[in-house]
Amino acid sequence: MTNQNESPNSTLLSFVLQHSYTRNGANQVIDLIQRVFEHYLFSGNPSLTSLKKAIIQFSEKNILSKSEKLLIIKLGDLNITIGSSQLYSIIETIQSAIKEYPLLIIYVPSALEADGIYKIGLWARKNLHQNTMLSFIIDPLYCGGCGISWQGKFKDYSYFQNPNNKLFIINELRKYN
Amino acid sequence: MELPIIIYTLVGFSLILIIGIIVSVLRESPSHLESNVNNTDDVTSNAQEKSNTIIHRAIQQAREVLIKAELSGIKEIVRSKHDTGKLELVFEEHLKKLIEESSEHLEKTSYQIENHYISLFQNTEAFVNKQIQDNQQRILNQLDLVTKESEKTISTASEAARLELIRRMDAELNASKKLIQDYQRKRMEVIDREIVEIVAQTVKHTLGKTLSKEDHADLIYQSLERAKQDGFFG
Repeated sequence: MTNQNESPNSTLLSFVLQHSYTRNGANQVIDLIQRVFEHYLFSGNPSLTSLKKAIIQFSEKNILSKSEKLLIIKLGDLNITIGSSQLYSIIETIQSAIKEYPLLIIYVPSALEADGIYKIGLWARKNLHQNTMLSFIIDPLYCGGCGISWQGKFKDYSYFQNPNNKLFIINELRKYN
Repeated sequence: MELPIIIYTLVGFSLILIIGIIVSVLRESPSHLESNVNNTDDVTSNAQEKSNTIIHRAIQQAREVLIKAELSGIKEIVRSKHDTGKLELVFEEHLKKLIEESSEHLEKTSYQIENHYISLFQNTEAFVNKQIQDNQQRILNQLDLVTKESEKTISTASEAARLELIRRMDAELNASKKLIQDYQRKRMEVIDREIVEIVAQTVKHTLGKTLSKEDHADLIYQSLERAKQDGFFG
């Protein structure tokens, strides 16, 4: 599962990209990775002889969601080795890389579930750029669709911006005249 | 009348002249006689006697001439008076006749003048009446013509005004209809917008409760597909 020839940077970056499709999500994953490695490297507990042990202890000591627990388990499966002096530079590198990836901003009327984000993230990386990061902005204006901002352009694709939908609503309401 | 006086005057002058001549001769005779006194007293007395006779005869003749002249003058005066009277009578008769003729002529002339004036007045009256009638007829004709022309003009103007009025009313009506339609369309647009807004607001408030997360994600997915088809992503 883990390619030992890859550098920790690229391994972690791939990990982050694989488990997050939004920039916030990526930052949360990076933050979680940082916390796990801080616990592993800087807790001073001699019993933590491996990353997996540190992850188990970290999950016991912290209140984590199910997805976070699954995520750090997968992190342990990477079998990567990071020195204490490398951690922050690697984290910083990953953060910078994430920031450099193309960002697709989507204005949505309400928050999406993880499945929806996953579906959309896959679509974006397939159709736009392989490392596309999403950013969702909640705005009730864009009900029935979304607003899309990409590389400096914006267009409203909400339901009511479609003239056909407007006409449909008006015609439907006129039936009650 | 002046002829006898002139004759008398001439006769008088002639007599005076003759007497003067005689007197001058007599005055010269004494001086001549004086120079010859001594010659002949008889001759002188005879001569004187003869001269006196001559003077006397001359005076006598002068008197006779004067008398004749006076007589003839008187006669002439009488005759002239007689002639004058006759002439006056004749003249008076002529004058009377002339006056009568003049009177008749004047009367006739007056009558003619009167008739002429009556005729003139009648003719004038008839002419004036005819002129008045002609003028009246002409005025009536002109009035008829003007009336017909006016009626025609009024009719034409009225028809034109009616057509113009109809055109303007149609234009106003069309403009009003267009205004109403525009207003109605705008109002409907506003109402439509408000309806859409109301629906949109309603949907916004109820979306989280009525639309499932999966459906929501599907809508976003469809929007992304539509954006891709639109060429939004370049």
